Amino acid sequence: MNYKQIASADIDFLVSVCGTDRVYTGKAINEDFSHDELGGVSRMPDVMVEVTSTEEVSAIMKYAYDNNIPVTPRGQGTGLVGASVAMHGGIMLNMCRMNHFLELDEDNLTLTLEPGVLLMEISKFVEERDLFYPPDPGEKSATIGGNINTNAGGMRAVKYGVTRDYVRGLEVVMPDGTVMELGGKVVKNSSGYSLKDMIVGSEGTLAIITKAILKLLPLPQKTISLLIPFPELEMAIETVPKIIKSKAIPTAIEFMERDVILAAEEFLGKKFPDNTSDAYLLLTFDGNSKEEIEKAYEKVAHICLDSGALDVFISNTQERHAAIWSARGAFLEAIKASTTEMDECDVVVPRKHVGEFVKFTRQLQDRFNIRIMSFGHAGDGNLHIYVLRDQLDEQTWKQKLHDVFEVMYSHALELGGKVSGEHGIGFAKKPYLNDSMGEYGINLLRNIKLAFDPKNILNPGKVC
Amino acid sequence: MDKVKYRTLTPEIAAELKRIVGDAYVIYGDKERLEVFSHDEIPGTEYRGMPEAVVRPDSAAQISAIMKLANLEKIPVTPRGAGSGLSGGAVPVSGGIVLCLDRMNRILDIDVENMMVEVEPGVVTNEINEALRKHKLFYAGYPMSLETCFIGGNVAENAGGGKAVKYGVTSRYVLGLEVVTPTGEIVELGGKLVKDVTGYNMVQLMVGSEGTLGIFTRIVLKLIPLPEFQVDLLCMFRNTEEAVGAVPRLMTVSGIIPASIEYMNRIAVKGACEYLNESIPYEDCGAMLLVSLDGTDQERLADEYEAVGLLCREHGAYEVYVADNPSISERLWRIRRNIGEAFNVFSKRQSGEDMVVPPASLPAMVAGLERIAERYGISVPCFGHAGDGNVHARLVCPPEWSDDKWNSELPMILDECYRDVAALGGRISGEHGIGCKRKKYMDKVVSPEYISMLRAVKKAFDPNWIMNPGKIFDL
Repeated sequence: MNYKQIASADIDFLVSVCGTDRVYTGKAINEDFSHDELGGVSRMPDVMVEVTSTEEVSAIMKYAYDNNIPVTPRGQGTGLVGASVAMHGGIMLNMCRMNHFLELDEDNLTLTLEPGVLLMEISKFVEERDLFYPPDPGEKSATIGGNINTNAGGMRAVKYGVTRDYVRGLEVVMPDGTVMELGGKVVKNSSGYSLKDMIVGSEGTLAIITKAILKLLPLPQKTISLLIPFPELEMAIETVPKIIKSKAIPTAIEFMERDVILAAEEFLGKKFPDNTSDAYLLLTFDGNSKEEIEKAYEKVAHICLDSGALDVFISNTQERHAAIWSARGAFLEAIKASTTEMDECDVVVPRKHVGEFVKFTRQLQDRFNIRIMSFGHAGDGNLHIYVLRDQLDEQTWKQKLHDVFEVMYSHALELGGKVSGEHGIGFAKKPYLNDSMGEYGINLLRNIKLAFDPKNILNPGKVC
Repeated sequence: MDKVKYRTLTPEIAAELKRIVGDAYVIYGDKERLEVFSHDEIPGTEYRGMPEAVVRPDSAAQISAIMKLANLEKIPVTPRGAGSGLSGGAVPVSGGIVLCLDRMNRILDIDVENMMVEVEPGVVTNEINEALRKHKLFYAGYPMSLETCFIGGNVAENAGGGKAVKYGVTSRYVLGLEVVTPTGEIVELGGKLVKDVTGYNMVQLMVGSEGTLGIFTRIVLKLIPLPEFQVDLLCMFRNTEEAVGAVPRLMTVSGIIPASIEYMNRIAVKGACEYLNESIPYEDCGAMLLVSLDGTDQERLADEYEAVGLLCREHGAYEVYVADNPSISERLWRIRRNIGEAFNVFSKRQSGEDMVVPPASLPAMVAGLERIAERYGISVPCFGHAGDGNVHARLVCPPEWSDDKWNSELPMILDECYRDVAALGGRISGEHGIGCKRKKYMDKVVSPEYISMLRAVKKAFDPNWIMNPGKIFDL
């Protein structure tokens, strides 16, 4: 691709829009902006701009479009597939200063905000007002803009669905600088294609989100968690479809292995309530009354015990609940700290094949002689599988990682699964997308990309 | 804007179509039989178009062959389900082929473990739930024309229906689609996956695209546990302001989300009751709310309906009838479902509207509508999904008006209505779609840039502009 190289006139333009304080070049750009949370790919942008308004974003996009300069939008950089890395250099738009709550509409139960607001700020803001924003991805310091761009899932997807289900409206800046409103506070809409849903999950390649209207729910008054030890992982996972079929709908169903728990204990320097069993299911139930929740979890506890669970630990105090979930939230960091380098696979398979797939990935450890750890959202079929480098030399590591991924992704495809459940394709998973969508499918994605971005200047080199 | 030149469907092409699907499944040259496929459920004759041929394929492979042929020959193709639409979406406005999906009516797989069902597009929506009942599972789409409409049409229009307040609209339940594209490729989008961020979300793009981007040949739907118990409350109010004003309060004050909150104004109730010979005492009633609560726990449901009934009374309901058995429930819902039909019988000169506003703005929208109706001297039965902010207003022509007067006044009336809707942050269609009927009004509520973007997306799928042309926007 032939993009214009950034020259001093371009910097002058950016300074004329944002002032000198918010335009960074060369060594003034922190090294952090060259990669995201998983490493692997890295490239410095030529210039990084902290934008503060839709007008600034629009002016910069119009300029970039006219001058054929690539632009990469970025939130907190907590992504895992390199989607916010400026693979072609050019301008990086740092959205983090656009971090204001704009309106809480308690009659329509909506919250309008800017893309740079952090997930943890949203939950604090709404829960203080007895309201609830259900999506709950593990990384709480991510921005809402990033969450919308990856259609983040998280722990509560079993009951409440994913980010898309809570995005009512968006204000976006198109690659040519046009500002558009998509969706709104309406709860249903059959007036033209749902471009809003197209933008959700598009990984910053179709438009830049400058404002979002989120749907809220009343805050469930009570929450309890069950930690359920099993003698082995397969047994734990085979129980999940039985729970789903029982029609008690838990908020979350996570599975975890002993190795991962031990890693988390070491990383946090805190004990997990129990670490004596090989595998665990972690379930949460929420609702408005104690009776309602008790009824639901008693049924599920019996199902688990009948399926071979060793015990059922109920955590009904805020402290115990927090202890378990903070450990769960630290899994990724803990696994990362236990090795030199790692890469992850975020496949999603039909729920009934989760057990089979996890068993398959465990066998790969021996077959390829490499450490593989996994945890994930058993309730929605989305797994996070980590391949660990440990002491392998560079060449062996690259080769083994490639071989393991090939086998994993093609097995997922055979089971009716897909490459990514919630982390996206970005740069890192593109080769596997080609395998799963076929030539015509990829061409269709490219045609859509060009319909939005005819010059391919917005976050080029990602998704397709 | 220049028009696309389509070719005429020649006898040779008709013969080719017969070769693809079999002689018995092509209608060609028989005006009387073709006429059936020239319109949908919109009353009157304005939104009609004669097809040159009707083809009834039985598989994705046949549809692929038809699309390849049509794409090569530049012949427009209009997909059609049961023809129960209300926006002219299935009307072949540029002639060509109507591709009727009535033979693809199989329920392919009830997957209890994944809680999903896989169906062909020609399955009658209601039959899905009949097949699921013995598994105690439920597909939550509940369009009002449930006995006739096809699931394929529901997906194409992103149908809402009576239970969207609690369960959301069709798009929420569509997880996977097999689609034949305008160029005849067969693609699988999504799958039996409850979350999926692999590439752009084409499933949600397809849902609500009104048959302009591709033809669905297989649909994977998410299911929920069957709510086994239902209680309906018919709440009578003296006037519209009180009835509609109570709606946002019902949910925010009680924290209970009913499955349905349907609104009917006096004219609508009167029309339906006279049509059905229904004897409920509606004489003093200015407006009604029909509130449905459902669940799997009978005791909790009893608590909920008492709380909701009380709230309605506090907000001005002078009478609340409770229906806690299926036969009384059905009697109440029959009134609601037959309003449309009652006014179709009363007058063919009318415009069925589907405006949607943010739920809290519903009182303002209904008040505005009634003001406009009074000023122009027309009657406007209003009914619909109050909990979603989506109301079906029928703008009914007074019998004494000439056709000329109606035809010149209606655009002005609609103009004013849509301007109000836009000012409230609303849209001109909540669930029926734009089709050919509302196309000319799109620019009242959305920007020209948005419409250009729709056109660009369409082009990405349909380079020759043959797939259901003339709907939503013009080339």
